[in-house]
Amino acid sequence: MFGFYLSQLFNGITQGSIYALMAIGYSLIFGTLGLVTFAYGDIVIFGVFVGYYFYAVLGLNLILAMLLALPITFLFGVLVEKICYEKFRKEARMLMLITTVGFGIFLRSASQIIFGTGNKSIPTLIEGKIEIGNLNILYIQLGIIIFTLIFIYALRYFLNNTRTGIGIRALSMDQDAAKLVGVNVDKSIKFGHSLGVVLGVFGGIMLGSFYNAISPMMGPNLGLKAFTAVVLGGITSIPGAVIGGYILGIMENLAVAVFSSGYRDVVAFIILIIVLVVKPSGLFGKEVKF
Amino acid sequence: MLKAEDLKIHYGHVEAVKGISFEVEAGEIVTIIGSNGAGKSSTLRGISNIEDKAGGKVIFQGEDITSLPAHEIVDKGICHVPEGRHIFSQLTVEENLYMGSYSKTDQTKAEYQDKLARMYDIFPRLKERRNQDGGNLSGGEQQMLAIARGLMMDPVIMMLDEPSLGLAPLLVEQIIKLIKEINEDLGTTILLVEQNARKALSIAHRGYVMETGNIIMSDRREKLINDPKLAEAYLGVG
Repeated sequence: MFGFYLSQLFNGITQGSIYALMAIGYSLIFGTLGLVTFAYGDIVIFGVFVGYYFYAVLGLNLILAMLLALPITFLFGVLVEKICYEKFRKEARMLMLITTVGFGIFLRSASQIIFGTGNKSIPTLIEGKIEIGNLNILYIQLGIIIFTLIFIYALRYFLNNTRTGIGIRALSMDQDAAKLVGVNVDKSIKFGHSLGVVLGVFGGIMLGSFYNAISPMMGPNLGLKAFTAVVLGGITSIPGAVIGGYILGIMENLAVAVFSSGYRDVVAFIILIIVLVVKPSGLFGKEVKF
Repeated sequence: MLKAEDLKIHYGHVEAVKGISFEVEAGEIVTIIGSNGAGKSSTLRGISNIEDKAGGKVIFQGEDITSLPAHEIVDKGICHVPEGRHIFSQLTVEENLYMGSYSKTDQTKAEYQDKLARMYDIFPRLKERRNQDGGNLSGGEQQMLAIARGLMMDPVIMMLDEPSLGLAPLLVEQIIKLIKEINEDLGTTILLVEQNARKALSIAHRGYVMETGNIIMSDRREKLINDPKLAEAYLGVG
């Protein structure tokens, strides 16, 4: 019995890593645009499907196909920013918000037309497992955890130690001031947004590889998970997003272990509602003013 | 050096700046004084292009910079220290200064360190607080940081918007003295926007007086100080 909970805990950490990746991507997008997005999950799934297309339709090597999807989704992120945000920078914020809702629906429908409505299966990127006692650890799980940590530290380094990264942090705090010290705000916003998209897509690829299945309909659900994780962590805090992601992943899997797998998605909603009622600024966020 | 011709800035139907023209020569300290809402800040925001202009032209060193994007205007050597300081509140003091050199892509690390050290010489308080978040500084310290951040750009001209706003009299004194030193020691041309007309005129060579979007008076400092109408309206005498 103990082994069962332990393996669910390990599943939770794996799942949490994936959520953490998506959450830091989401947090980065929120930071640069100063606005939540409702298209994130759909954009992420679309990106994973791009990789799937290279693999299943064009017959490329699986890892190569998924790696190729990353730069392509980076460019796609630029396009999304142009469509959903660029034209509306000086308009009411609500416009961008609505645009992301619409764009999400569009992309989901387009994905269904292009890739079909059903589940598509993706083989695991790394096969094999290790057994410790009665605990089975898949290589892919270890891979996900390690890759996540690498991405978190790489992002941290980027934001704290590079010119572009510090510029993105600066513009997230004060766009006018950023312009006045010479930041090309338009370019930096596009860069930050696309980087967030790529992080999310990488998370999506890991998810697809872990569960061996993807479908265009997964988008809104994934977007909600990423949103819950960042709200839990405090929406602009990158470390908060990581911790929020891990808490969500572990809680979900423990709920599955204690109740049944049908309760998985309820957990995110419950966490979201509790955080918004009890501490809207999240665990590590600045106090929110309305 | 910097010339505005028929500059107009509108916010919706409100005409904040109604077609003003003025000029700043190299090496000068020129001040634009006027009460709150006269359109002084809008004028500066229009020049650095963080506000759209409804009309007019801006010429800098013979080049038309009217519609250059804000970051390219910075590259030309125009530094705008905005009203309300606009410190990056969650960046450390040192990161704020680093952001000041953001546009200096051709600068070596040694040159950057050198400049940073010079800023810490001028502003020892900033050195003490180098690792604190900009948002945790006092108003006076933030103003120092905003000016230091601007100086990191090696500007040809520095446009300061209400640097004395909200500061204690002793600090105002310090900031005004500092602006004069920047002009004299570094040779930086200054365009100073102030509500505190007396203080601004104490260091300026020339001044423009703005009222509801128009320039209503412009003259050399001595003339402005002794103008009876101005003294009554802005200098609190009479």
